[in-house]
Formats: sequence, C-alpha cells, structure tokens
Amino acid sequence: MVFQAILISLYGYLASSTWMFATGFMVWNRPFIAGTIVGLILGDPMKGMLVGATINLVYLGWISAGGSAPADIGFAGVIGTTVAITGNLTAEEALAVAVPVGLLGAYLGTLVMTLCSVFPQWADRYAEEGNTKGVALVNMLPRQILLLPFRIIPIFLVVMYGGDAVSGLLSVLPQGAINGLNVAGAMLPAVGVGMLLMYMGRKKLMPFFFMGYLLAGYATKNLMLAATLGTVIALIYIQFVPSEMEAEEL
Amino acid sequence: MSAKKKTLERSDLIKSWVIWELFSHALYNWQRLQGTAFAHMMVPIIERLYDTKEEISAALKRHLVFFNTQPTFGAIIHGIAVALEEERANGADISDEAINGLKTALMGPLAGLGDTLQQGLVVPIMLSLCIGIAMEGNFLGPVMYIILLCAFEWVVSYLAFFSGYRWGKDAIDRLLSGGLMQTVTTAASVVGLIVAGVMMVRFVNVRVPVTITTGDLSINVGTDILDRILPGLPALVTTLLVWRALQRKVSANKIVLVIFVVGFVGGWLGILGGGGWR
Repeated sequence: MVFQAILISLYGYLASSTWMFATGFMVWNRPFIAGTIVGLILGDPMKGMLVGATINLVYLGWISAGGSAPADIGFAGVIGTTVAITGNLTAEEALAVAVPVGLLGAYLGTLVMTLCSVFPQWADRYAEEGNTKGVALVNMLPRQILLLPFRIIPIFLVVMYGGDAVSGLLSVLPQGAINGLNVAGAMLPAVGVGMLLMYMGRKKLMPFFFMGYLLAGYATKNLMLAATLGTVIALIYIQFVPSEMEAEEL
Repeated sequence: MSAKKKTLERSDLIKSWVIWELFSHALYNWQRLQGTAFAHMMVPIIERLYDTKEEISAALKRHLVFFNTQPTFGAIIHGIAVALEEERANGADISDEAINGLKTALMGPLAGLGDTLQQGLVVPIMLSLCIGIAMEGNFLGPVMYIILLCAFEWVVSYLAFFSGYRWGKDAIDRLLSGGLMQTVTTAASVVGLIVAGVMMVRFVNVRVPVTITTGDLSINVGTDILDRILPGLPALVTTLLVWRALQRKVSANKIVLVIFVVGFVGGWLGILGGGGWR
C-alpha cells in the first residue's frame, strides 16, 4: 500500500506540476483521466475510470481564470477515486468525499501562489546582473519544489489514513493565519501591476488606467470588452493628438 | 544601427516555444502570474540578440513584469514580442513602453478568447463525448481524450507562436517604413492601461470588512461606505502606493515585504479581507 500511495501522490504532483508539457491542466489533472490512472495503479482501472468520470461530470463547466478556481479538480479526482477503490465506495459516495477535498485543494493552491510571490524578486536580482540562466532557474524550480510537500503529503496521507487525516492537519493552522495569508495573496498583484505602470504609465495617459478601473468597478470586469472598447478609444485618441506631442518622457 | 544584422535562427524560436510550453505556469504566483515565465521564454532570444551586460539586463527586466493570458492561444503574443525584440536589436526604434504596451493590450483579449474556446468549448465537449464512451465501460474514452487534447494543445500553441512571429515581423516593417511606430506605441499604451485597470480590480482583491456598530445601526466600512464612494478603492489605493514607491526607487523586495506584513496582520486581525474567488 505504501508503494501505491507513493505512486498516486507522485501522479497527483506531476499532473499539477509544470513537467507535463502544457497538458497537465487540461488532460492529466481532470478527474476523468486522473481517476483512470489511479485505478490503474490500484489494480482496478475500470472502477477508477467510472468513478473519475462521475466526479468529472460535476466539474464539466469548470473554468479557471487567472489562477483562481472554485475547486482543485485534480486533487478531488485523485483522492475521490482512491477512497472509492480502497474504501469500496460507490461513485456517488466517493463524490461526497471528492467535492470538499477539491475545496481544500483550492485552498492549498492559493497558499502556494501566495508563498511563491517571494520568488520573482530572486529573478529580479539575476536580471540586474544580466544572468539569463539565473532567471530561467528561478522560473523553473522554486515553485515546483515547494509544490512537492503541498501535493505529495496530503495525497499520501489520504491514501494511507483516509480523509480525516488531512482535515486534522489543516485544523492545526489557526484561522487567523489562513485569513492573513489569503489577504496578503490578494494584495500582492498590486506589485505586478505597479511594475507594469512603470513601463506604460506616461502621465498624460494615466487617465486611461483610471478609465479601466472605473469600468471594472462599476460595470464589468470582462477583459474582451476592456480590450475592444480600449481599441476604439485608442483609435479616437490618436486622431486627436498630433504625433509630435507624443514623444514625451515617462 | 549595429554593424552586423542579428537574425534569430529557427532553432531559437523553437527553443523559446518549448520553454513556454513547459514552464508557462512553473512559477505561477499572485505577484506577477506568468511574468517570470515570459522572461524565461525570452532567454534564448535575448542570448542571441544582445551582447552587453546592460542590454541583457534591460531586456530581462522589461519582460519580468506582470503578465497573464491563456497560454495556448496567448502564444501569439510571445511570437509578436520575439519579433519586436529582433527588430529592436537591429536598431529599430521600439521602446520598452511599446513592447509592454502591446503585451498588456493583447493579453486580455487573448485570455478571453482562449479561455472561452478551450475551457469553455473544447474541454467540456470532448469530456462529454469521451465520458459518454467511458460510461459504457470502454477505455477508448480516456485514451481518445488524452490523444486529442494533447494534440490540440501542441498544434494550436505552435501555430499561435509562429503566426505571431510572422505577423509581428510584417507589421513592424510596415509600421517602421510608414513612421507609425510612435502612434502605435501610444495606441497600445492606451489599450494596455485600460486593460491593466480592469486587471487590477480583478486581481488585487482586497476589502475592508470592518463593521462599526452604534446602537441599532451597524455600518460595514467596505460595502456600505467604500464601495459606495468608489468600488474597488482599496485595490486602487494599494496599486497607486506601490507605483509611487517604485517611482521613488524603493526596491520591489521591500514593497513585497511590506505588503505581505500589512496583508497578513490586517487579515489576521480581520481589518482587511481578500482572496476568495472573483
């Protein structure tokens, strides 16, 4: 069982890691596929496939945009099929386990994204030195290493000791700390957007940034609209502004 | 104009595409999302095009900013950015602002288009189809899904990247010969800034969930006061403070640390709220 638990947690890690050549998110992390593979590892691929398919039907219209998703479906799929096969549950019973586990996984995912907000500064330092290899390494490795314990340990524990082990692990963390990490994560994109403004935020053009802000605050956060409306406004703007006036320092 | 023309080899372009496919989300984080991955994708290009430490450093820095799009269809942007860098290295007058303006202007619509087509259309349709086959106890279901979706990802992103590069080259040549580069830079910045404003509200998701109670009256500072003045005000204030600090040459390191401490303590005490799904 230990060997199978290791294989399953390793699969759970790989499916959500960067190593699947851009197919992890769309293919290997879907409960349908994850369930089939987990079933294969546990010696019952048919049941794995059927349970995985049932779990996946819940998440058929599931969309993740910009790193935020209502559930971590890979986590739900791997753990749901595992308990279904090891605990001899029906697909529907497995679903009852998988859905809350998916929420928990999304929680851990946000946490990882918050913790990883430390690393871009390392890349900045290498960029300052003109060290291309350093920038590449920072992009490749730190998050993938950090992901190991966040993926492998919870899945391993669930396979070995059942779902209660994981919720027990989480209850050790005080709620205040979880809230704090969430808020810190929610504020950090301000740094990224601020850096972008360093490149684009010409004084004369800054009203357009506020226009985007008002659009999102009052009307819609739809990016397609922002970009198409933005194009219309830009076309009008450049007709009214003589080009020699545009050459202005940032 | 440099003496020798610097040309990208096809192998550089392929390396660049492979890096994007492998590592687009390798360091996905709240601060810059795919920003470090964009710089990483540029590494083979930068190494070919630039020689001095200053040029390499500047190129890395300009691609380390906030970036986020749908990775498959969004690869068009990467192709265009590579074309822009190639022209720039050969002396074309293409500013940092032009490059980042175009990137930001394009990342929104391609995210919208890509997510709708891929996550909203291709994935659910293929899943329904293949799950239907699987429910009859046929392993063809998952096998078909794996093969078709992998092929979709690789073919579409490859085509997107290389068409972006070709279009970029053509467009730049025409714009430069017509003396239109400055106008396009301005237009791209206008679109980019509007998109950045929307992105800010989407991603900088901080609230002030404090409730003041006096007698029977209880007022929520966030939803009853701030949202009625200007929705998303805490996000705007945070972002503008960061921008100010960056302009005053405060290191990004320090800013991240301050934000982390303020967010963590504020969140723990319940003065600030955030996260959740937007």
